[in-house]
Amino acid sequence: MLNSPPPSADGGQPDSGAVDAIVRAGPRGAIALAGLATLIVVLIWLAFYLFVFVPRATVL
Amino acid sequence: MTSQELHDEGERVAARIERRWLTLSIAIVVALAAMAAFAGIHQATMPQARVETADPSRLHLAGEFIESNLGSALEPDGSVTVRAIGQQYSFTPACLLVPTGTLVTLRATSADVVHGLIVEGTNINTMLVPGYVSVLTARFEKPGDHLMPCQEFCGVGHEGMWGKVKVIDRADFLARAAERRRLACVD
Repeated sequence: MLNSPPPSADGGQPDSGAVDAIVRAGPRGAIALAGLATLIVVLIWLAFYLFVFVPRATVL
Repeated sequence: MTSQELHDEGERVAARIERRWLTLSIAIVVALAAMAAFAGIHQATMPQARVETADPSRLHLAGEFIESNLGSALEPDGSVTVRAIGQQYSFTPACLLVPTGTLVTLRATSADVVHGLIVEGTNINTMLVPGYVSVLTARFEKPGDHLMPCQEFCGVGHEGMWGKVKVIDRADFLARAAERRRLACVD
């Protein structure tokens, strides 16, 4: 993050406490991104299926 | 809470999110499979009921795919059966003639390598495998032309392997069918 504290002088090791806090908060950004991408793909698939593929069905 | 407990709590959160994402992914796959079943029931696309074979080395000598039997045939029940062959690099007939508002059954096979066949604007989309007969049905409501390219790479001339489906008025088709046993665009 842009407002993260600068690495400490002891070789730049991340603060494990801070990492644990981030992990505990859950991957909300990743869920939002992956969820949105999945939703878009599924909606486009459904739209083609329902509005293009099924209407072309052969009615016997 | 000790730092170890805080670390374990984070691990549990990550595991829970992964389980939920996995559940969602499986739910999407199951939904897609259910839609495929719906497609079969709704006749949007029908898997072939049975496997039919045709010896590719004898197609031109005997059986339903001899040259004089290719093209569109009017059946006693009013439907139309179209027989076609794909070979490097064309379809025979190159232009299929079908009537409007009629159940059309396409029966096709390959004389050499694996070809594909897709008819623009319909759900006809199949592979033509030497030795096997591909059967698909369609209904065309309006007169017009539909492109029918080979959609399976079949060799250096693949990109030039294009056919056509010409849909004409049913009355016109019946008049032509009264004169000829098998119909194609060009007689």
